[in-house]
Amino acid sequence: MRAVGIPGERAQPGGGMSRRRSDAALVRAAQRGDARAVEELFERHWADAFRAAHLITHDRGAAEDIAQEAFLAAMRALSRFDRSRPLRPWLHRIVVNRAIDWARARRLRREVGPESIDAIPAHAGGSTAPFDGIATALAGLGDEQRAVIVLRYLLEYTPGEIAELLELPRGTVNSRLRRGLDALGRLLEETEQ
Amino acid sequence: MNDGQLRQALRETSPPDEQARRRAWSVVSAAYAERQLAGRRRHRGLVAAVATALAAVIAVTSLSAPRDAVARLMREVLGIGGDRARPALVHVPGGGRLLVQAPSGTWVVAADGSRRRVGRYDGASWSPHGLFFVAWRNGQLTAAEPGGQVRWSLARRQAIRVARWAPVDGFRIAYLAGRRLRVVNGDGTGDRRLAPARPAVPPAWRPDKRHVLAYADPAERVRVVAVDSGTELWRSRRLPGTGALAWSSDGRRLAAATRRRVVVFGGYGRRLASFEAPAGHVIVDVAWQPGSWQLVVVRHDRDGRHSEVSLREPARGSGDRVLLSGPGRFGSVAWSPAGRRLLIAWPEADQWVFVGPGGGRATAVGDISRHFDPAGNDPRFPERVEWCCPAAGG
Repeated sequence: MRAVGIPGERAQPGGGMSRRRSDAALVRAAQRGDARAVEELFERHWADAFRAAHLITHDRGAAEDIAQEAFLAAMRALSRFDRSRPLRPWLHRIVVNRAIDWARARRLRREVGPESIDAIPAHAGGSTAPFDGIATALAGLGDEQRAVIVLRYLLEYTPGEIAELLELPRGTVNSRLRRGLDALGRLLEETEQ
Repeated sequence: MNDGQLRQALRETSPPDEQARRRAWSVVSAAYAERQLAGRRRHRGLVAAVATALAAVIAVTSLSAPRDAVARLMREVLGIGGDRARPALVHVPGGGRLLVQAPSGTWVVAADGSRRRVGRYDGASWSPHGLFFVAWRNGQLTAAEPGGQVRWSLARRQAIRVARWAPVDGFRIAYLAGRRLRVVNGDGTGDRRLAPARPAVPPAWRPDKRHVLAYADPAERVRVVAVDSGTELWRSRRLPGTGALAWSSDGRRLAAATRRRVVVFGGYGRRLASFEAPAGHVIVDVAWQPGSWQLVVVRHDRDGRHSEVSLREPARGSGDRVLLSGPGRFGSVAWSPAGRRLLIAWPEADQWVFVGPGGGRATAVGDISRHFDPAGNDPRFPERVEWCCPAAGG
């Protein structure tokens, strides 16, 4: 079998523009045994999967596990994956659901210690960078509100797509977005004061 | 903050690190490679047939044969072990972490093969995402982090035999203290009695969030209860000698194994399938492949001279597909989290053998006893292994 290298470490092709293949084309190639297609899918979707999981769980270790599990789920489902369905929302559904589960489980296990969310002040480390407070403010929201905000503003799904992805009524998604943004605004104001 | 600023803030606030990406890629690419290997069907039947035929030769080997003689036979006959066995646990094939129960204590093995002893416990079991493990020693039940830091512990008068952490949400732990099954919350609160149970049979949680537990009662019936309400969902007829219970990963199948027979139950306790071990054989363990209804069965002959690990789909009535056979007794088995690798403990050869469900070449890691003997005085083979998800931070 051809050795599969680490994405990003291969020499760039010399000259010319390579046409970017669609996800469906990459999935088809991966189903046929093209390891480079798998690399490209991973390269294309890993960062967003990690970011989404991190913003929902507020835990880098958990985010790494969850993003990895989503790709492993993709490997398991590869042979029967319906290429007419888009891969991206399928992957993100797994990431978001697992991240919500993780966040709930941690909260109800009542974690204590210096690394807990509650103990992290809004300006941890004394940084005054304008965006540092956003992650902590986001962590102050409910799990479901946080998830829809991440899906809307990080992963850029429409409310209708979010409703389909999370199997929720459209009204529920709109309500969580509205309340989540209101709460986020208040938390950010408190941070800036 | 307007929408555009929020988008930018979210993007900038959470950059993934390169090491995390490399770790994940190594696991994902390995999973893809295993998938490709499983697709190579043309050698699979041949490997299984050769293994089975050669096992017949090995079976006449005396049980008292020294360990190195056994290992030499396996090298010669099946081409695994010995010189080809990796001298050190350089990494866990397929990724993830192992929780190892050895006579020297409880160990965590990371994906890169590094090992850490995390306590002197009699037994241990992972929490659902590997963030913690539950361990027991005498009458003490402890929840700890993979680095060994204790989160909480509780004490009981009766000796604790086994504990299992509820999957998915991790909100409950079931454990056997004396002859009583008990449940405690994942944070150590709310310890309470559940029911009398057979102490030799580990309880098994159904893999969903509903806290449904299967266990064997003193009358040797399998009972399935919702622990939060105490409601019994169903119970089986008497199954004398039940030794192991295992749920499929979708929670729709429950396998109950006695020494001679495996019974598979479906929803509401409907008996779906039943099969016996071959004449003269004893079943020692069963485990469902994650994501499938294929069941691994570990068995050995009555004298313990010869063992087999086979795979079958019970409800289809399909025959066994032998994954590994060899002299002596195989120990516990553990599936990788993705269900692409099976770890088979082989005390006689002092090896862990990793095989894929589709056949293909096995990977053997030798000198297992020495890996878990820190003082180098008394190397003994580990009793049990659990395989979990990759670590936070690798």
